[in-house]
Amino acid sequence: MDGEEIVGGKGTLQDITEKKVNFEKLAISENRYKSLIQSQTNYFIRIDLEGNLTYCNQRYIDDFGWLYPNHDPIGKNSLIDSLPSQYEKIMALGDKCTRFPFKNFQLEIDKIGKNDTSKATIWDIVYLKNENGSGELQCVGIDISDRVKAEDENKFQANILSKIGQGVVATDAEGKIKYFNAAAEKIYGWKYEEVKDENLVELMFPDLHESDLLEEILEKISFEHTFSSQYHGRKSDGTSFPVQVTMSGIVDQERNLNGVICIFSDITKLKKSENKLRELNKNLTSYTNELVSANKGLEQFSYIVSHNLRAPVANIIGIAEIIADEDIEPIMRDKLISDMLNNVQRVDTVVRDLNDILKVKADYNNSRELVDFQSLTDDVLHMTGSLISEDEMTVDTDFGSFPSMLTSKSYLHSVFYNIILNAIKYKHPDRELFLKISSHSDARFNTLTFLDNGLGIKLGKNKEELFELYKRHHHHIEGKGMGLFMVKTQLDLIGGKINLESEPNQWTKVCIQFPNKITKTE
Amino acid sequence: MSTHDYIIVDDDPVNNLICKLVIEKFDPNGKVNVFQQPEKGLEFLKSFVIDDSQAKIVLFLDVNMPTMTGWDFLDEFLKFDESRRNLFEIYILTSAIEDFDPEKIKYPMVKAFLSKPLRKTTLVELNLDFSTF
Repeated sequence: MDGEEIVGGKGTLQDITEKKVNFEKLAISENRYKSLIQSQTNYFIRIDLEGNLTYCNQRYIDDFGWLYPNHDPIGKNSLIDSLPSQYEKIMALGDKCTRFPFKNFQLEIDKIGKNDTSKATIWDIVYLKNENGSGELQCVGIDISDRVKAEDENKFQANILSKIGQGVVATDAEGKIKYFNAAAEKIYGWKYEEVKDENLVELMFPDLHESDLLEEILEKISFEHTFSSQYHGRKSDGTSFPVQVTMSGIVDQERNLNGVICIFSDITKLKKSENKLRELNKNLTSYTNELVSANKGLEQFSYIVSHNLRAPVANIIGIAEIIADEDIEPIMRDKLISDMLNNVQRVDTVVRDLNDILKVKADYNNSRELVDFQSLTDDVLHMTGSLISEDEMTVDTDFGSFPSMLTSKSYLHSVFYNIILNAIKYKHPDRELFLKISSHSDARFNTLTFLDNGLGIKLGKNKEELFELYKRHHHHIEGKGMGLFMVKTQLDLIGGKINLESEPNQWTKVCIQFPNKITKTE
Repeated sequence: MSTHDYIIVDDDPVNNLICKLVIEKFDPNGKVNVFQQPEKGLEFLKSFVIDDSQAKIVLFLDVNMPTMTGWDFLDEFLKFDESRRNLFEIYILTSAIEDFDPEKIKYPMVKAFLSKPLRKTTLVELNLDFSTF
């Protein structure tokens, strides 16, 4: 159309047409623009220099219209819908905007929400200045309350992670430390900055690092299992402490392990109390054993009372009743009186024996000394010397490989004495007594062996009875069944075990064994 | 009046003497055989010659003896023929104060468990059976 010369009215018409077209174009464009603004999820408002709203879009009316009279914000002060705490910064920014026209400023504003809530919003504000000096603030805002909520949530969670007493560490797929909470810093003594990007396992769980378990654990946690165990942790100062660790994987949808979250706590105290408990338990077991043995002692006591006190007492009663009868011959009466006295003596002996046994247990004071087997044997043979003439007995000793041990000398002396005494007492009448005493030590036991060629003994089903009090196994030889009982009692106290084997009329072998750990010679 | 046979098996000579004296007092015609070793007592029981007019023999048996207990003795006794076993009326005579309940069940042929010392009154109460078997 340019360059065409048109006359008068025509031109006017054309002009109008062009104006109309332009106007229509403008209207269409403005409609588009308006609908764009109206359909926005963003807020769109304009505010004049008085602070009154000149325009707001539908979204704004939806969220804040209710705060204005007649539900109509136009012409009203825009501060109405903001929290009073925000007024100051809003005004300040308004000033700033008018000083710098066409420059974009951003501002977060907490507005009033429905139901006594607040609504976090963020605004882009620009002052559009007209040529005539007037102008309006154009503001585009969005509701960020969801974002703020999520941020708060994050902050809250981060706060929890830093506040909880358990150490929390997160790593990437290579095991490099990417998060280290306050408790972890406290437990390990490292600062996050010091351990950032270090390998977690290598640095803090040396024993796990050295084991082949790690692969297995990673495999496990990549299937969304958690793995929990106890390891030794290594602190920044190199000290080791027991730690309870729970690991879980950070796994993406393709099951790739993107990292590991480790929660751990220092269980030093727990371990200590566990050990204490274990110790208590052990003590309890030993008390129980003591009680059981005390109970056995009581049973034994009942046995002694029934057989060894009751028997002479019954005899005394029987004799007393007989001699109360007057028509009894004087010779018989004398014999009975003598028997009665013997039985009174028996009662006395039993009472003394009981006292001796109780004393052995009461005297035990755990004092140990290095006891030489040869000199112990010599002592005992000296004591028993009067019981047997020298040409009737040969004693051969072999203590070469294991000559002495750390133990209670008086008890071991009593053990030697009673065993040697038995060998002498139960000597075979037809032959010289040959007694061989030897010692031997291996990894597990220290053993003393007494072998004699005496009468021997037929061992029946009740082998253990050998070591019970007042159990006698031979008729013709004087004895009250104390010897082996004392030996066993004393060995019990010094941690030894006794075993007896025999072939009647051939030999008897007594073995005494001590577990090696308690008898090491020094 | 025929004599009655009594056997005492106990390793304690004093008890044996008391028994002998008490029995003789109770039964002046009684014949008392004492065995201080149970093995010898058992041998005597085994070889005892039985004739038709033999009355029952009363046996007082101790329990606690060193080489052979009263129970061991009874175990051997159980191996005898029934006719020989029936010859004896057995009493356990012990100084023990236990009740011997398990043994009472195990050895039903024991007529009673007596506590030492043996007394004349006890013998009267036993109402001893000297019938021929």
